[in-house]
Amino acid sequence: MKAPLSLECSVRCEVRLNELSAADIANLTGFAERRLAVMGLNPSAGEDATQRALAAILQGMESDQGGRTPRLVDVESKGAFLNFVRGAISSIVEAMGRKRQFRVKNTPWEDGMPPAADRVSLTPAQNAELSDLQGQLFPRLRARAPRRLKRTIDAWESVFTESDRIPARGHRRYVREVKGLAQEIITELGGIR
Amino acid sequence: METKPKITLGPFCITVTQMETTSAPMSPLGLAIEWSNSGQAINIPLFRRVLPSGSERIRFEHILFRDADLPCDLDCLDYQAIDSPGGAFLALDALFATLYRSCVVSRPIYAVLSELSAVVPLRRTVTNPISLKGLLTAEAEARGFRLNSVFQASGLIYAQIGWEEQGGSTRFHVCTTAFRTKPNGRLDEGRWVARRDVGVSEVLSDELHRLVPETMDLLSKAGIQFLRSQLTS
Repeated sequence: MKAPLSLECSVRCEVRLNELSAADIANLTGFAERRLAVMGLNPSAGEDATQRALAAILQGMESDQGGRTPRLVDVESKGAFLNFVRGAISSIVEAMGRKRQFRVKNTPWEDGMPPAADRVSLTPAQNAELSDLQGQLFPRLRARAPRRLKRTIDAWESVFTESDRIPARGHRRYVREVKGLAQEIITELGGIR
Repeated sequence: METKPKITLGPFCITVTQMETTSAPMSPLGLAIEWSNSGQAINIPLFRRVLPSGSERIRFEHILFRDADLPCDLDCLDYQAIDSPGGAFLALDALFATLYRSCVVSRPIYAVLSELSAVVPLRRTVTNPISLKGLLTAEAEARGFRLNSVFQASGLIYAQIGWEEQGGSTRFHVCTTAFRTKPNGRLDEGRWVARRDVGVSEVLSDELHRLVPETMDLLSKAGIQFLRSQLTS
């Protein structure tokens, strides 16, 4: 539970919120869009981020159960308040990059194959072997592969221990090329897998 | 490691006559996304997130489906999932990313998005997108890629790229690039901003990278001039 907003701060905050014009909101949305783009997120969510920030400020004003609460200095002028809102937007944009996982509940999607057939649980020994193979394979793959395959290799490495499939980053032909190189390297390594 | 060759049809956007009821802020869209292979057909009813503003135009990111209809495991960003008493609603944007990433579907993404834009009144993605054409390399522009917005931050100049369907009524986010200015005032070779989002932007940026592997080849001469003019203005 947070300390409740002082009456003076609460009154000033309400005044500042009422002062926000459509142009101010559009500028704040533009700010949110730029923050999202810089962070590699979709700037289309700028409007949502702005609305969430304003909703959090309202929540902070109206209850002591979370939300954003400005200090007196943040509501002294419209300029100071806009800075405070931009800070709230930045926090929200930062949080928007968090991922959430959902697992399939119904029937599998492929010809009766279980949906996670490529994620069969491995024994600790198999895990160690796979991790060892990863350590051996990827440096060699990167050294041998042309630059255009780098994204495909990076994508594969990120899912290597969880999946048998190479994600198609870029052209599907790249997946075949990476697979061919990997087979060459594995043969040279003595057919570990 | 071999995967079985598979023929899939779709995804297609189809009309739904029997609509489920939902509580606010979700409303049935009267549409479903459908795709099929030799084994089965999958049909997922779509919903829209209704905003208090009550705008008739819909943001692509606000088209959702029930997590109960999820056909496969899915990772999405926290804000792409909306919890409700009847279960979560997830963004169609994230589902498309998963389907294309896993090669479950292969219909060109351009066709799917154009079809969706034709039946849903979609809003443009960012405020005040650049309407000038010819700022990207001709090959990229011919495919519908556009320079969407330009801005400066932390000593860098950022160019955000969008994809516009043929009607030009909406643009979808693709990716962002960042350039530095050299002491002689020219732009450096630039870099792609590392992506953290989940959505069709992943599929579209793969398409763009295939057309233009290097950022230095992304902008046309007019585009470079445009960016430099933004620096000085």
